[in-house]
Amino acid sequence: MISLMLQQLRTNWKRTTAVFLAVLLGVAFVTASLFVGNLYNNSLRDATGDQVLGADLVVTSENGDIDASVISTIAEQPGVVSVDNRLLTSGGLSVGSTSSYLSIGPIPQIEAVRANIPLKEGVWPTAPDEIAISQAQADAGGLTVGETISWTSWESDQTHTFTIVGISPNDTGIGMSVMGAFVTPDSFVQIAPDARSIGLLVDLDDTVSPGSVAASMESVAGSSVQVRTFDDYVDDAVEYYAGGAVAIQVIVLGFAVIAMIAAGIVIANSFEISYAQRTRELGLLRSVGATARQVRRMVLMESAVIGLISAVAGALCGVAIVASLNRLLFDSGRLVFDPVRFIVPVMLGLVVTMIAALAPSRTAMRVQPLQAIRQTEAPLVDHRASRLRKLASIALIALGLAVMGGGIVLAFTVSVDSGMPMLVGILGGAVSFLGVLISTQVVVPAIARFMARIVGNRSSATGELAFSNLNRNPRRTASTSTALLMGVTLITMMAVGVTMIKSTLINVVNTENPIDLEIEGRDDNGSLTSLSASELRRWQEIDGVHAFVVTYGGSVATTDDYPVDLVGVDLTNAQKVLRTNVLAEASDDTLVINQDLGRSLGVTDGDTITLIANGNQVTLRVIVERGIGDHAVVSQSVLETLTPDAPMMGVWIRLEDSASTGDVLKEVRKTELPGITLSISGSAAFRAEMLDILDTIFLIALGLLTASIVIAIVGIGNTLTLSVIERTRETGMLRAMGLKRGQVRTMLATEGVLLALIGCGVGLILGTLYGIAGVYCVFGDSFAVVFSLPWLWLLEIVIVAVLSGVIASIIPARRSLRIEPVEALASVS
Amino acid sequence: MKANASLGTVSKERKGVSRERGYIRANGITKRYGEGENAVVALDDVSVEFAKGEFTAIMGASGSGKSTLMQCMAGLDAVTSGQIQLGETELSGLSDDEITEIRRDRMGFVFQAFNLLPALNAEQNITLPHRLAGTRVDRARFDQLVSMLGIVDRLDHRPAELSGGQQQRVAIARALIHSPEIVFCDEPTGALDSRSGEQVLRFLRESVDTFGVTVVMVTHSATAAAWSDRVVFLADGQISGEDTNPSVESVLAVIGGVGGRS
Ligand SMILES: Nc1ncnc2c1ncn2[C@@H]1O[C@H](COP(=O)(O)OP(=O)(O)OP(=O)(O)O)[C@@H](O)[C@H]1O
Ligand SMILES: [Mg+2]
Repeated sequence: MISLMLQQLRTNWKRTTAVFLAVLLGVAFVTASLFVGNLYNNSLRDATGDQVLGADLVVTSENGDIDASVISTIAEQPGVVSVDNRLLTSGGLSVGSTSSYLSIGPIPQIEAVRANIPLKEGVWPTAPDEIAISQAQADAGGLTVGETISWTSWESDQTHTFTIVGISPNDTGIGMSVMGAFVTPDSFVQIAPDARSIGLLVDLDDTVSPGSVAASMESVAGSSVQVRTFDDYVDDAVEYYAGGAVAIQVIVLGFAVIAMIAAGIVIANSFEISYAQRTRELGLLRSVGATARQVRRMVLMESAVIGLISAVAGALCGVAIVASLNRLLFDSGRLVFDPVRFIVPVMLGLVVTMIAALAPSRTAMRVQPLQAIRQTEAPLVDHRASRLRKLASIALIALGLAVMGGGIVLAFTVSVDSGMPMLVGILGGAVSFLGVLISTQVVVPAIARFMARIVGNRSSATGELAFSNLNRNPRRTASTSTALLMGVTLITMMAVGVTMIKSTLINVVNTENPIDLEIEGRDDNGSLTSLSASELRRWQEIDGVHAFVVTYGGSVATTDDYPVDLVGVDLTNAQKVLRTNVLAEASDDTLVINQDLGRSLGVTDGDTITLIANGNQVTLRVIVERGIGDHAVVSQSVLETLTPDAPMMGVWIRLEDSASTGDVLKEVRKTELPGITLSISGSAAFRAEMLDILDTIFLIALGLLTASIVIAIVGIGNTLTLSVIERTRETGMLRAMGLKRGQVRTMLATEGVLLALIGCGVGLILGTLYGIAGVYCVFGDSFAVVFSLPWLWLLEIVIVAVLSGVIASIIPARRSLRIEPVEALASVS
Repeated sequence: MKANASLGTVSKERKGVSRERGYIRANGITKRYGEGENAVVALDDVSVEFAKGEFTAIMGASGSGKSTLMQCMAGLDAVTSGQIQLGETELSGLSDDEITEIRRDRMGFVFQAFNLLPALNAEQNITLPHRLAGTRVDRARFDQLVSMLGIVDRLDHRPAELSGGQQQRVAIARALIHSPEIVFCDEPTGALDSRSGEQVLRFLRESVDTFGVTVVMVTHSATAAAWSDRVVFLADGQISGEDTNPSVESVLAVIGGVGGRS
C-alpha cells in the first residue's frame, strides 16, 4: 500500500508543486520567527552573561543598597575569596562645547571578571587621574587614548579631569560590571564618596559549590538581599528582558499562523483539484478492489509524505534565512540549533497539510468504481454550497459584526485606555472574518457569475472563454481567491488603520501646536535675543521649507501694568505657515491668545483689551484660540504701532510634507551666530517621529504578510496549471480551430487576473471596513477620528493583485502552449 | 427461431448446475437510470446464470444493456431490483466494503481501455489486487501468466510505453493473478486490431481451460464470440436468445436478426 502510494506520488509530483511551495513557505516563516526569538535570547544571554562572567555569585538587593554589615558578613563566609562591591556614579562628560551623560564605576576587583571585559585598546587605569571609557562613549565624543576629558559629578557638582588610558567594551545597560567608564577604586572613592551599590560580585574558591554557598549565604545575609549563582542570575535577567522579546515573537507568530492558514487553503484546493483529475485512476483502484477507506488512506498518506518532505525543506529554509540574518544583523549573536524550534514547525506543517487534505480525501473516497469506466466524468462534488454553510457563514458574520459594533460602542462609552474595546473589536472582527471565509464558496461564484454577465458578453472571445472557465468550477474559483482575499484583507486593514491613526494623531498634534519649526535666538543667559535679517532670509532658501514667516517681538503691558510679550507676524504669511486656521479671524485689530494667557489677563473671547508700550496705545479685540502656544499674536502693523523698532526674534517655518526635519535643521545649524544659541521647537520633529513609528509598524506588518500573499499567488498559479492539464484536449481542440498562441496566453492571464481581482476586491472592501472599525475601537471619543483612506496604497494593492494574476498565469500558459493540437486530440485519459 | 428453441433446451439442461465457486446468477434484475419521464430502463427483469468454468459472450445492439448487465453482476453498480448471487454469496444488501472485497478477492476485470494505473509499471499493475488485499503474490502463477501472455520482457514498462494489445494483455494478467472465480471483460478487444484481438481471446480461452475460471465477456464481434462456450443475446434490456454452440456464422445469423452491429 505504501509503495503503491509512493509510486503514485512519483508520477504525480508535478501536481503537488503548489502544496510543496505553500507548506515550504509557511513552515520556513514559522521556523524563522521561532529562531529569531531564540537568536534574540542568545544575544541577550551573551550580553548579560558577559557582564558578570567570571564571578561565582551575584548578590543583589531589592531596594538597591547593600549594607556594609551585609558585605562583611558575606566576605566572612567559608569559601569566599573576595567580594567586589559594584558601585555606580553618574555625571556629565564635557568635550568641547557638548556635554553627555557618563556613568563611572570602579575597575572590577575580581581578576576573572576583569579578564572577561577585554579592553579594545590601551590598559586599565592605575593612577588616580586615569580613566577607561567605553567604545560607544569614545565614538560619540571622537575620543582616543591619551586625550583628556572633564567630568562633572551630578551629586557633588565637582568637576574632575581624567586622561583616557583605555577603551572598554560597550555598556549594554543590563549588567553590573560594564559601565560607561572605569577608574581605580581609590579614585572612585574620591569622586563619589556616597556612591550607591548595584550589587556584589563574589569570587569563591574551587573547593565549594556556588549553589550551596548561595543558599547558606542568603540565610545569614538576611531577607533584603538575593544571592544567586552566575547561571541563575543570567537566567533571571534573560527572562526579565526577554519578556519584550516574547511579545514580539507572539506577534510574529500571529503572522506566521496567518501564513499557515493561507497555505492550508491553497493545499486543500490543490488536493481537491488533483483528486478530481485522478478520478479515473481512483475509480480503477476501486473497481479492482480497493475499498473506499483504502483509497482515502492512500491519499492521506500521500499528503503526509508531501507534507513531511516540504515541511522539512521549509524548516531548513527557515534556519538558513535566520542564519544569514544572524550574520547580517547580530554579529555577536550565535545561532544555537534548538531541535524543538525545528521540530515544532515541521510538525505544524505536517498537521496543516493533513488537515487540509481531510476534506479533499473524502472527495477521493467518494469516487465510484464505475467512474473509471464511464467516459463522461460524473460530478465529483455537489457544487452548490450546503445550506449549513450558508447559515453558518451568515450567523458568524452577523455575530461578528454585532460584537465588533459592541466594541465601537464600548470605545465611546467606557475608557479606551483599558484596551477592552480593542479586544472586543478584534474578537468580533475575527468571528466575522471566519464567517466571510466560509461564505466565499457562496459569494465568490456569485461575483464571478455577476462579472461574467456584466463584462463577459461584451469582451473578446478569449475574455469570454476566461469567464466561462472561471464559472465552470465555482468551488475551485472560490477557494483559489480565498487565500488572496485573506492576505489582501489583512494588508488593507493595516493600511487603512495606520492611515487613519496617522491622520487622527496628526490632527491632534497640529491642534496642540500648529507650527512645524519655531526658531529663536537666545543669548548666554538664556534670554531671547534678536536675530539679523540676513540669517533669517538664508533659512528661507533651505530645501524643504514650504512657508516661512518672520516673527517680531515686543514687550508691552496691559492697562493694569501686566507685562505681555507680543509676537507680531505678517498675518497672510503666518496663515500659510500654520497647520490649523487659528489665525483665520485675526486682523489688524485683534490679539490671538490661548485660554491660559486669557485667564491671566482676565479676558475671554470677544473682549477688548488695551495694550500700552512706549506711550503708544492700541485697543484690540481678543480671540481665544486653542494651540498657538503661549504666544500672544498680533499683526505686524499692530506691533509696529506699539513698538516702532520691534526686533526680529525668530521664524516660524512650515516644512514640505516630504521634507526631512533633520536635514532642514542641519542646514539651519550651519549658520554661525556668535554668542547666540538657537532654540528650536515646534511639532515637526515629534510628528516625524510619530509618523516614522507608524510607518515602521505598517512596513513590518506588510513584510510579514508578504509570505501569505506569495502563498496565495502560488495558489492561483496552481489552479491555473491544473486546469491547463485538465483542459489539454479542449485546448488542443481550440488550437485546432484557430486559437492563436497569444490568445491562449491572454485567456489564461485573464483567468488569473480575474481570480486575483475577485479575492483582491472583496479583501479591499473587508479590510477597509475592519481598518475603520479598528480605529474607532482604538480611539473611541478620546480623539476626534479623522477619516482618510490610503488611496495610493489601495491602488497599489489592486495593481499588485493584477500583476500577480498575470505572473501566476505565465507557467501554466507555457505548459498549455506546449500542447500541439494533434497531440492534444489524440491523448486519451 | 433457432435461438428461441435452444434457449428452451439449455435452461432445461442447466437445472443441475451446482451452486459452487465460480457460479454467478442474476435473478430478475432491473436497472433503471434516472427518475420519472427521463428514466431509462437499461435492464428489464433479467435472469441469467453463468456456470463455473464457462466462457460466455454477451452480445447485443449498442445500448441494449450489455455493459449494464455486466457492471451490475460485478457489483460495480447497484441494481434497482432483483438479486445477484455469486457462489453461496448474495451480493444485494452487502455494504460497499463487503462488495469491494468480493471484487478484490473473487473477481477480475478487463475493460475496453484505461485498465492500468499510469504510475505503475506492468508488473506492479499486475500484482495490484494482491497489494490491495495485502496478500502475497503467487510467483509461480505470475510467471506462468506473463509467459503465456508473452509480456515477460515488458514487465518494467509503464502503460504509456506499451501498445494497446500489450496493455490489454497486462490487464488480463492482472484480472487473473489472484485466482479469481470469475473474470468480467467489457469489449476487451474493442480497441485492438484483429491479430492482437485474437491473442487476447486465445488467452481468455486458455485460462478458462487451464484455470477453470468463469469468463463473462461483452463483445460486438462475432469472431470474438465464436471463442466462447455460449453466447447470450440482449435486446432492449432483455435476454433475447442464447447460442450454446457458437460459431461465427451462427452468431452472425442471430445478431443480423436482432439488428446487428451498427
Ligand atoms: N449512467 C447512466 N445514466 C443514464 N443512462 C445510462 C447510464 N449508463 C447507461 N445508460 C443507458 O442504459 C442503456 C444501456 O447502456 P449500456 O451501456 O449497458 O449499453 P451497451 O449495451 O453496453 O451499449 P454499447 O454497446 O454501446 O456499449 C442505454 O440506453 C444507456 O443510454
Ligand atoms: Mg457497453
